[in-house]
This record gives sequence, C-alpha cells and structure tokens, in this order.
Amino acid sequence: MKTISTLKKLIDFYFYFLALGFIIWIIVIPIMFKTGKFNTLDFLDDHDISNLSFGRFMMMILVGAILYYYFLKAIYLLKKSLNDLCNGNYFSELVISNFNEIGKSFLICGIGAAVFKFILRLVFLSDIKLGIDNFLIISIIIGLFFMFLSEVFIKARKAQQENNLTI
Amino acid sequence: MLAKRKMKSKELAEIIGITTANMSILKSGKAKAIRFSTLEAICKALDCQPSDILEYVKG
Repeated sequence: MKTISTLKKLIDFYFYFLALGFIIWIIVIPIMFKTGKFNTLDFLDDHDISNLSFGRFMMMILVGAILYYYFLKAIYLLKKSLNDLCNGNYFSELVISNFNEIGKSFLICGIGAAVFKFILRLVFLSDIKLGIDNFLIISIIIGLFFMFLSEVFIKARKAQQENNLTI
Repeated sequence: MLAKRKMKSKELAEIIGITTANMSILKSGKAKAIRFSTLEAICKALDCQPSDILEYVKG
C-alpha cells in the first residue's frame, strides 16, 4: 500500500509540474516570437527556424501543444485512476477505461511526435531520416502495456464478480 | 425444503453463517458457485442431501 501512495504523490506532483510548464509555455512562446528568440526552442536539431512565417510557426506550436495535451491527459487520467487504486477499488470501471485511454494517449503522443519530427525534417531540411527514437519506442511500449493492463483488469473484474457470487 | 422444515430464510442464513443478501442470491439462482462448506452447512441445517436442494436445468 505504501508503494501506491508514494506513486500517487509522485504522479500528483508530476501532473501539477507539467500543467504549470504548459501554462508557462503558452505565456513564453508569444514573447519569444515577438523578440525573435524562438530559435532557441530547438525543434529540429540545429536548424535555424528564425525565418519562419508566423503561420508556419503557429502550426508547429499547435502540433506541439496537441501532443503535449495528450501527454498531460495521460498523466491526468493516471492521477485520477490512482485515487481509486489507493482506495482499494482495483478493478473499477473507471480504472479500466482510464487505463485504456492512457494507453491510447501514449500511443498518439509517441507516434504523433515521430511523424511531426519526420515531416519537419522533410519540409525544412528536405531530408528523410528514419530512425528508432527512444521516445517513440518507450511511448509505444507504455501505451500498449496500459492497454493490455486494461484488458487484464476486465478479466480480473469478471473473476472478482464471480468470486463475490460464490457463496 | 425450507417450507418442509418450517424454517425462514433469515433463520437458515443465521444458522449457516451467511448474510441475508447472499441467501437471497442463492434462492434466486444468481449465485455463480457455492462452496462445499456452505453446501455442507445448508444440508446439515435442513437435514437433507445436496440432491434435495440442487437441480440441473438445461441452459
């Protein structure tokens, strides 16, 4: 039980840290664009993006924000699920659906980031680079693991219900 | 069998040590399984055989 409460505290802290980072990001990005310092964002290796048009820049920021949103959503759902898990409701409907959603969010985040990087490289550097990104692999592994965990929990829930109806 | 022994469900539940909610699950046939210990306790309380209280229904 100590493990789950420690994990809950850590996830709580991480979620608020990420949310705060998101807010700061929203405030800082327009300032960086105004002052022309957004080249320091390092979107694409060392490629100079200071000559980007406002539209293209905003498109990049928007895609980045969407990916960040999915990551934040996954952490938020994990935080929510941990409340139930801490209370001993291991196989609740909420935990099962949240784990499935977390898995999907991680998959979207990982694959989306890889596609985004691939397109950016193709557009700005006219270069095709196909490689195995650590973030991509880890996101896919975590995503599939959570989706599998959700399926396991469905089976566990059925077993628990049967056990409750064994008199 | 309960009627034959002139016993109420609540009394039987108390004797065999299960809740009245579980007793109603048993009576309604919603129970997924029954422990041998529970079956033994019911048979002992009602002085009957398992075949007197269990019935196979083709599903």
